[in-house]
Amino acid sequence: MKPSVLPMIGIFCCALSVFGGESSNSWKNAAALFQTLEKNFSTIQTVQTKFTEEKKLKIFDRVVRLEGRLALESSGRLAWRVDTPIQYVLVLKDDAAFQWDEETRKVQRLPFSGNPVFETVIAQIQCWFSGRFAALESDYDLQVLSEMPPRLVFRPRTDRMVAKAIRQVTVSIREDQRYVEQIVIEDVSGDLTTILFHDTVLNAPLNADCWEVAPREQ
Amino acid sequence: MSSDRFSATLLFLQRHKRFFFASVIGLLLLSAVGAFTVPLQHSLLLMLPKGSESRRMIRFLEDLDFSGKVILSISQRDETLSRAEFLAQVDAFAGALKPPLVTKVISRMDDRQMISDLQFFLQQTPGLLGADDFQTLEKEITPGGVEQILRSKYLQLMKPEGSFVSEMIRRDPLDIQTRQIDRIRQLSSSFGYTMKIEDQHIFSADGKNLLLILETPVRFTDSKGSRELMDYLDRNQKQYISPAIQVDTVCAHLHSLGNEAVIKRDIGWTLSITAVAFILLFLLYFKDLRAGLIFAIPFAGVLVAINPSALFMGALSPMILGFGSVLAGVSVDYGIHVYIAVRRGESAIAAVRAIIRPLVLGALTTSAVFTGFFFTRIDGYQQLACLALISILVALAAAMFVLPLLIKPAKKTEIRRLIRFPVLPPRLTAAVFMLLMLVSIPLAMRIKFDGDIARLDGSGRKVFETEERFRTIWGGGEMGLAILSVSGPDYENALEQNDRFYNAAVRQTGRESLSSFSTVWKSAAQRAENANRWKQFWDSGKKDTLQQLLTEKGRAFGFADNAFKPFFEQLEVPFIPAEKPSGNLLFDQLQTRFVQQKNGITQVFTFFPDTPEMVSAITPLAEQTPGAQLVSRRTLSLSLKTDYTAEMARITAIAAVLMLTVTFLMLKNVRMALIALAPASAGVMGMLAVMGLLHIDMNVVNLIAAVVVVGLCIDYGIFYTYAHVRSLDAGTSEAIALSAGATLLDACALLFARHPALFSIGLTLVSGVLAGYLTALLAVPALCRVFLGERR
Repeated sequence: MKPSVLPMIGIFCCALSVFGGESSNSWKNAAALFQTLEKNFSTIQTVQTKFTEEKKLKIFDRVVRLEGRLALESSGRLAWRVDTPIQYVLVLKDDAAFQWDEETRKVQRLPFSGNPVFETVIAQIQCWFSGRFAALESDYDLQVLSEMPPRLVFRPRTDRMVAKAIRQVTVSIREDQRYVEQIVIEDVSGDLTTILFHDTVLNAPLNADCWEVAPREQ
Repeated sequence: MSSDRFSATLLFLQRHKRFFFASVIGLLLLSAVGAFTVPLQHSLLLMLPKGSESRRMIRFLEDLDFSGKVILSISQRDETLSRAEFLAQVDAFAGALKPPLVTKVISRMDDRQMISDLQFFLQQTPGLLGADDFQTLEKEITPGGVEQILRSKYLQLMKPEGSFVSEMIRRDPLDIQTRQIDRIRQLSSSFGYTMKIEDQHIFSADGKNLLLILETPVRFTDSKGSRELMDYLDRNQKQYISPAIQVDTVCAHLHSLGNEAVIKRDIGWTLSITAVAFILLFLLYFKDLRAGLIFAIPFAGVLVAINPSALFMGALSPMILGFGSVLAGVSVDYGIHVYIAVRRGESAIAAVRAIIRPLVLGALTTSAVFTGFFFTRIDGYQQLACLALISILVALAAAMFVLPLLIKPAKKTEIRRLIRFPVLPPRLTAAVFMLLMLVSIPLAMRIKFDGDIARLDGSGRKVFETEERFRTIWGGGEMGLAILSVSGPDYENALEQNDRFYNAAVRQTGRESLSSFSTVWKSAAQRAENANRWKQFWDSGKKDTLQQLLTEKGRAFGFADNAFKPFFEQLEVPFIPAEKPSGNLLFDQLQTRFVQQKNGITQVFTFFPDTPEMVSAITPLAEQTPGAQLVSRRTLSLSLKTDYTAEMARITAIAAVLMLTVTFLMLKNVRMALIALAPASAGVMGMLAVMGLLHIDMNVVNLIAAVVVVGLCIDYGIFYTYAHVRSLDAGTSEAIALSAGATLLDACALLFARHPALFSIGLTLVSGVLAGYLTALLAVPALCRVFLGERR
């Protein structure tokens, strides 16, 4: 599989990094909530969690359900593993992203340097999964659906390119406010992607094999 | 001139001494004033053979618009400013840069605008496809091809990015537009710089350095303009940018200014060393203030020669004027010989008359060498020949007619030997000389011609360090890329040529290595042809086949029956090729790099890796394309080598024939002539042997110095041979020792030069003149005794 699509995502997402105008009132009002969330998230050194991802996409005639695992480190290392219906691994470490899939069975290295758009995309993924929501202020309008447990809706500002791809992102935080419970991404065509995190373990030591890209041959 | 006529002339001048001296002083003053008005030519083209491949390539590079750009890499020294403060200062600085010195500043880049501009190219994709794209589509629209595509799309949708690309896949299942995006990305990355857009500015990959690109009408060959431009940038930088921010400037202008400054400093430094050494040598050795006139003669020669040379040649190169100070060393001999002869004699006229023959012969043979330069196709060498010939003539005239009137005979008969060497039997000396000449042959054979003129760039450490830092931060830029240019009388014609060349090149090398404008914009004719082909392709049943295959094969992956409806809806809309876009920033930026319109000609460039494989694959295609020009650093180096070798072979042959003819005609004896030429031969061999030992290659400037070595050493040989044959007692060996000493002092001073070209000249002169002088001193007397018999 060629990595050609990554620049495309980058094109859609790179505007996320552009900082823009004044903070809206909703962001100001939510300042205290974000302060609490950031304080709580800042104590997280590691995250190990399972996830269920449901894709309701018009391209498919049914809902596609993925099961997988996510490992995250405060240093920025991230491993996203899909176990079913296909096997796929994405590991972000050092200065590159590494991908493996059951189709090619090869590890593909995509360096961040020299591919700034891809770098921006990765920064976005890290932003959502590590709870650094305040960094999204310049690109998104915020709606707080509920403070306890926190449910936040991020809508891309109309003058941002990302608005051409995403209608809104809804993030639900656990009741203890220590990690993300669910992310729902709705794109402009109405496609819906829901990622539900469960069996989350915080601050447990991560095994070295967490960061291995290719699964060990049986 | 016969001896009698010379005596009569000198007597006449002696009688009208005041008027004569006043005329000489007047001539020198006028020459000095005139020297400041001489038109200067800075172009490198002057040093390249007319009509040659290397000259064509350098002219092409000089004419490129992007060689006149100034690039600024701006960073914070210690991160004390916020990003907003940093950008505010940079924007204020960029905003202050105005015409006439800066015509355009590229400082901001709106990524949203770029993305919306990209849409234009996606809409125009059918018109921008190549023949290979249609072949790929043919292969894809098969049961196997479709299954492979669907599998890959399914996999893509399962990845984290899947939620973002679903609509894109529905619109473009065959990656037709995605491939186009890849091509634009590849074309952008072919600039050779690693960058990203942040806060609507161009930043380095680490986000710490910001890039500003300035366009200026000031050519880098214009020293005055370059200085004004750099001063202007400095002034604005001081006004708008705080010391916490570092600005690295990279441009060809700094090379011109750097080289000029280093050459000026080196010439000033070497002239000072030489002048002090000469004055001390002459005053302490001769103990006569008037001996300083010997030193003045060669400079007077060059000074007087500048104006007529500029008149004959139209203009002079500063580099050639720089060589003028070296040339001064060639004509110092005449004054030395005259001075010593007069001081040793009882009558100035008689003393000069006695040496007039070798004096004139020496000047004629040296002139013969420089005359050879007139037969080259190199303008710079012709300027050098003109300057040298006139200055030799003036120096000879000054030594013969001015100097004798200013010095008085001292009747010093004792011979002062500056250096004493053990005297070996003549046959042994002759044998040793010949042996040494033979030994030096293998060393000389090691010498290669180094055609990389960049190695003669003496811009200075600061310029090179800044460029190195720039390359580390931003990447190598266009280094390592070769350029192919096609041209046409108008934009469309040039694009048609470019399309033809590109299609042929893709068949030869594939797309991957080529960065061509044709991948993102083709001629109207080609786009219209593609539009027809696109329609025919889908109307031939391919659309139905694809739709059927996608539905059938897609079910296994869970794709909806109407999954790719948006793609087929697009196919229903007839494709109409658009006109060239206006106000499309992405298009404009790509066009600026790949298309240049100048003097009614449109050129379109293709970039590719400057590897032997690529160059040899592209060269035949370039030869088949009318008006195509291929410029490769590698080829340029080879062309320079070929062109210079041919030119030097011609110069050497003509100079050798002229020199031998003059020597034979004047000496009227073959043996004598061959002996007289021994120091010149030894000078060349000695010079090549030293270069071989030090692993230094021959380059475009030490070739000139080599000719100067020949010119000087011939004089030594002639004087020694003449003195031996005529039993001349006019202090020949003393004069030659002083002459060689003076030249060596001159040349040794150049060894302290920072500029690689001047250092190279210094090394060539020191090794060559030393070998030539030692041969004249030790081998020529022995050769004379062995082959001409004892002194008469």
